[in-house]
Amino acid sequence: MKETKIGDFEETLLLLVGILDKEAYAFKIAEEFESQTSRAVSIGAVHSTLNRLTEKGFLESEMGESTAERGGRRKRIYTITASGQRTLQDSRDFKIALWNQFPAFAGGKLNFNF
Amino acid sequence: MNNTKNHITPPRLAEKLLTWFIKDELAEEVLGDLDEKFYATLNQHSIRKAKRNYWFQVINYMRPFAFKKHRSTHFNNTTMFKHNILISFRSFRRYKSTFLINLFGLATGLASALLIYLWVNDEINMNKFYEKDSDRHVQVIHTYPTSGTYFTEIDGGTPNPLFERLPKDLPEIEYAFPVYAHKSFKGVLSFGDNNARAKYQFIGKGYFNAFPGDLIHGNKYEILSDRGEVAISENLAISLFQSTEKAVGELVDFKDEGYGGTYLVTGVFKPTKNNSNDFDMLFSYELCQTEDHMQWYNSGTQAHLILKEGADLDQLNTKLEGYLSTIAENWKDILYAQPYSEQYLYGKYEIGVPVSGRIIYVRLFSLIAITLLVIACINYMNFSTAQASRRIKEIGVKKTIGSSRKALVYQYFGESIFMAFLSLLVAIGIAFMLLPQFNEITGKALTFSFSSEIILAVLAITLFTGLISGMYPALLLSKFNPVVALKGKVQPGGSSIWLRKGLVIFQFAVSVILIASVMVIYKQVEFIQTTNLGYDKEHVLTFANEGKLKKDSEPFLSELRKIPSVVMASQMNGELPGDIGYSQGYKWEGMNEEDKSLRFYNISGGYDLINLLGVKFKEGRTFSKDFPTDKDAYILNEIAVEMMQLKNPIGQKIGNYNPRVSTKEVIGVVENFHFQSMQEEVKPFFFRLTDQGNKFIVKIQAGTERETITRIGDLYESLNEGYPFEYRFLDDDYQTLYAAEERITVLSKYFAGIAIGISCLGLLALTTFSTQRRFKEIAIRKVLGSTSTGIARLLSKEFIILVLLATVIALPISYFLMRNWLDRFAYRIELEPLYFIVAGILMMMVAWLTIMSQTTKSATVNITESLRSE
Repeated sequence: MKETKIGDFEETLLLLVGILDKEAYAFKIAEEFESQTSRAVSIGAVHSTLNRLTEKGFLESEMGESTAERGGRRKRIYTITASGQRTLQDSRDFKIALWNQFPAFAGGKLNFNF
Repeated sequence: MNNTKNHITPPRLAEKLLTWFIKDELAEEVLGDLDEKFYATLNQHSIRKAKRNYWFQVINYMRPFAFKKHRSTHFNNTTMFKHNILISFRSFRRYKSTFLINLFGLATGLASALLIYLWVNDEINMNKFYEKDSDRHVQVIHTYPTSGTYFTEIDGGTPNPLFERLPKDLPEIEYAFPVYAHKSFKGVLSFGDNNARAKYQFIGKGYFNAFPGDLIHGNKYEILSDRGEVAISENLAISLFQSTEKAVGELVDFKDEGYGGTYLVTGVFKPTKNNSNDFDMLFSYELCQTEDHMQWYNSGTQAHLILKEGADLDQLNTKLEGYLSTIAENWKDILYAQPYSEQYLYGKYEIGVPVSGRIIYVRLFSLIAITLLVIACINYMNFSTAQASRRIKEIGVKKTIGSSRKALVYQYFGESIFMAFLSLLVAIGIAFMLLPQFNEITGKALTFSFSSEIILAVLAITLFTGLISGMYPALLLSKFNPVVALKGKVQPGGSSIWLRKGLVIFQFAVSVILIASVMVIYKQVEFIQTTNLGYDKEHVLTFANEGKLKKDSEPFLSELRKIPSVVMASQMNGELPGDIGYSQGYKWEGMNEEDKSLRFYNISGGYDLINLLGVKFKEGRTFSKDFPTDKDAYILNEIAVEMMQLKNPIGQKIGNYNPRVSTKEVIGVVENFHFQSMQEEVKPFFFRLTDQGNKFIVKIQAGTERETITRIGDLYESLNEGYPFEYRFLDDDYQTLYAAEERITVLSKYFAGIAIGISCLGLLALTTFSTQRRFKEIAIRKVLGSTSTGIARLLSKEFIILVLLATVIALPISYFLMRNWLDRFAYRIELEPLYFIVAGILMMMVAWLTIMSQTTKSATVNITESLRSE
């Protein structure tokens, strides 16, 4: 089996980093996660995962500018690396491949109304 | 952003916590993120919610990736840990005797503490219930002034209508319910051929909101709604019906003077373990709620109140204090509302206000537990510091290769805590073995239930022991200068020797205090038991007068008297000793106004009663069948005559404010006798005649108990079918009055023994150690011509002085403590110096023997052996 090396939560965060682009820092990512999934998450949990993704080489980060509501503190902006993008694509391709083998949907007609 | 919330900042403490644990390089971004989150939450929600969320976020940052790295690596820590344990093991193995003394001492101390903890825990939880309204449950305590002092009703009886009236008058009370219970509430319950004696009480609606009711059958909110219902205990159900299920819905026959009849069983309950008040049957209070019963001059019903949420108890009590004077003018009795859960521990009142009670024993034994532990810890401290020189090289080497002082402190604490936990294992074993005996002494049914609470407490006690015993060695030993330590020159300095001596003095002072206390307590209890009570309690047995016999007891009594080994037989009302009825409202010629409230205790009985009890006459005569008027006669005691200020008591007429009570004539005066516990003064008292006693009292010949009792029993059961014969000896009843004192005597005896044992173990080890270190000195002295006795004396002197000092310190303290304890007795022994001298000498002897066993051994040592090794 093909290893995607990435968990569900990690994948979601990677995608959110991509979506948020220049605004991708821990607080915003957590907010976005909550509004997109309507599941509560702590900033610490998000930060910890972002940190792990960085260690795996899927993300890189640098300090950005500061704003008043942060008490003048700078934020750490995350961006997806090439390896991160590849992993995302692999993960998607792998899943689509699996979907295609599902007999109920063979023939490319995906029917989600069940 | 909302302007009014502008000045609000995240909680400072949470911020501090975060910056304390988080990696420095992460601090800026995280603090920023959290600030943003905080203000975003604040915009949408309340300040509280925002702050709470901030805390939540901070706590969620406690993840491995975010923590600061510690300077030392884990690898080294575990190595050091293993190393320390290894060193501890080696030193245990090398100094086996010290190790065993430590282990045994600590284990004994811990075992005592464990047992005491179980007992204290049980006492504290007595009558603490967790029903719906238990936390707002108070009981009214009724105190009345009587001849210059105050007397609080022991059974909690208040004027009967009080519980109904109070909620109407006082807004603090939500509702109230009655409980009517008395020692004499005992009857025989029958179903078919099965009979069982049962204690009963009456409860009102609302009882189960505050009292636990573990019903096996029946609904606790529905049962006893009718006068004809009864709820019985599991045991009673089993003895009558063989099973609890069969009992429900059955009609049972209850034989009792006041409340006999046929009742329907609607509930079966399990007795509650932590309920101090025990009963086998429950009736509805409505059963006794007759018009006559519900008069203000009738009392005995307990008034239980449930306060409104947030009601002020102090405020209620100011209203209650003089409440009865609003019912009737000049009614000076005092009421006081006490939380029901506190009543068990604080059951002693002064002018109507709880002052102490069993809590004294709880405190006393907690103190003893702590003291025993501390004594055991002191042994450990003394050994570790005395042996410092043995381990000084180890410390020197460690310090030289870079061990910090902190690491050494940890090592020694680790060792002592390790030691404490080893002892705990032994202690649990000891406690397990002794628990049955301990239960017998304390009269409880304690078990080691491994609840989280007990486990936590045990761990805490052990940790405390470890920390206390490790404290001194850890701080002292880690202090040494490595260079001096390696040269082997360090001797524990002057201050540490003094501290060690101080600790020994403390140990022995405690032991002396305990010995002296045990002697005094023992003497007092002996005094109580051997004092002439003024009546004869030996070979006297009592049993209930009920059923057919009650209606006409004379034939039974004359049958009894025909048994040759029956010396005398009579009948009486009231429990002797202890629970004697009283009444007031008497009037006589020449009385003062305040004498109206004078209470007279009284026993009514048959013609022979006074003779049977052996109460001596001071003047006048006893009741006699020759004088028909004796039915209206009193026989007073001396104190009554004195309080009534009667010059010529014989022939005096005593009337009563109650018109239904006829005027009586005094025909005799008896000497004072102790009809109550010795803790009470003898109070005014009279005898009167009755042929309706609630029990028979029989004096039998000594040595014939078994046959006589069998014959009495056969006779009783043949004439009184359906009533089991159950008898008691008067002197046994007398013993139960002093059960509490008996228990402390026995317990303090054991604990004193343990304290002495542990202290002597310590002393033994210290002398051994100090003589071993002086081997060479001894040898040289002997070479120069010292005798063995001279050397033994020299070696013992130091310790003997310590023990002497301890004795001197302890004696005044124990004198003070014992004087306090004796104050509770109205009749007590005088504190003689002899007790304290004996305690001191005893301690000295034990200590001296301990020391001598060591010093003589070293004094007779072979000189060449000990000098050769240099």
